[in-house]
Amino acid sequence: MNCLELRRALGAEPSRRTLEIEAHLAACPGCAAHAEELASFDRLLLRALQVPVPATAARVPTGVPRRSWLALAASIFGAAILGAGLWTFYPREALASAVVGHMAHEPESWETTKPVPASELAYVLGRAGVQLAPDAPEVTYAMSCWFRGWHVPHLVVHTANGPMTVMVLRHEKVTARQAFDEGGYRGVIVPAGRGAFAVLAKTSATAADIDVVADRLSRAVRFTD
Amino acid sequence: MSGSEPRARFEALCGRLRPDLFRFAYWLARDRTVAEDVVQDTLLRAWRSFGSLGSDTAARPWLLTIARREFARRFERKRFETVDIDDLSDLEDPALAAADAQDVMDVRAAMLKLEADYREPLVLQVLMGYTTEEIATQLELTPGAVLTRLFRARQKLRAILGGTAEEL
Repeated sequence: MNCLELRRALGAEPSRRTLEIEAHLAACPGCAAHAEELASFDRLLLRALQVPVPATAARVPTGVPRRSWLALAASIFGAAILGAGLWTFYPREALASAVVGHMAHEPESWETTKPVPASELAYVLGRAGVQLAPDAPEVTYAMSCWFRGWHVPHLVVHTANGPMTVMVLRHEKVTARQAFDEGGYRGVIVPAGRGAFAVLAKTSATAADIDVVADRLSRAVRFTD
Repeated sequence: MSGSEPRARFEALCGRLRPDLFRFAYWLARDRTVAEDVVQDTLLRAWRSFGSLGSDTAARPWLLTIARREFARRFERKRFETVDIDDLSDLEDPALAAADAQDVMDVRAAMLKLEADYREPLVLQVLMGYTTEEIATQLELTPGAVLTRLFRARQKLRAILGGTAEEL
């Protein structure tokens, strides 16, 4: 190992020591000084990387919701009344495609069967300013997902026709009920308050099955601020 | 997973690993608020899949992998949302500035300017103590590519700091 090889090796791994490296450093004062300089820089770098950790960071997600609930509850309306049973298959919609695309990130969500603890569900919903009435379908998966610029509740609900995914999209402007069937998923996006929610199932579920769940959710989902 | 024992174990692990997790998220995001969000999302997701964690010794790489995925998930649809280094105000944050020497602050500022491709392997190596092979696995690179990035990362840092990058 010559000086160039040694400096390349230590430039990437300053703390690396092999018999060959040790032997070179013992015989070469220039490289030994260089190695000490690299080690000294790494000690400084470590101190720099150890930024202060906020005391409030990262509560374990089993506690109470972060947000307080506000009284402004606007029930979801319209879609269930307007669109019950009317499935119009729109051309590929950007929002529907994004929702379907999101499914690829959460394959494990469909496998869950146990009810999500109430505190965890409240946290996920509360983060997006959403409430779910007690008579809503049982939630077996709840995650706060970053979706198109917002934290969005991503839920899986247990239904008589198998699991269905629900994404509450309070920031998406949707003027009419949109049914879609793409990427192995069938679903509907339903206007709700000033936003919307999406219900998806794998294509083994029928449009009517999904409608039933969407209508039930229309009565159960509420926005809190 | 609803019993108190898994929860106590999870809380103990999180308490121990929280500084690492936050710092890793911070150096990914270069923003304390985003880092806190990433950490919170990471813990939520980790709790949901806590049953898949084997021994406690695997907890740190497990959490860091989740955090990395959470960060990517957060920004993959908003690629235009990049942090302008001129807008980074963290170095003015008293929480960062307090009690730290000027040389530490200078290196921190230089790290904020380092491209993600170089910043991340350096953080994994220096802060997390990962081996080159572990970094390669985490970043899905070859060990050779990791070594190249680590070498260049230090060169670039020194150049940013005003030193002369060595000609090797």
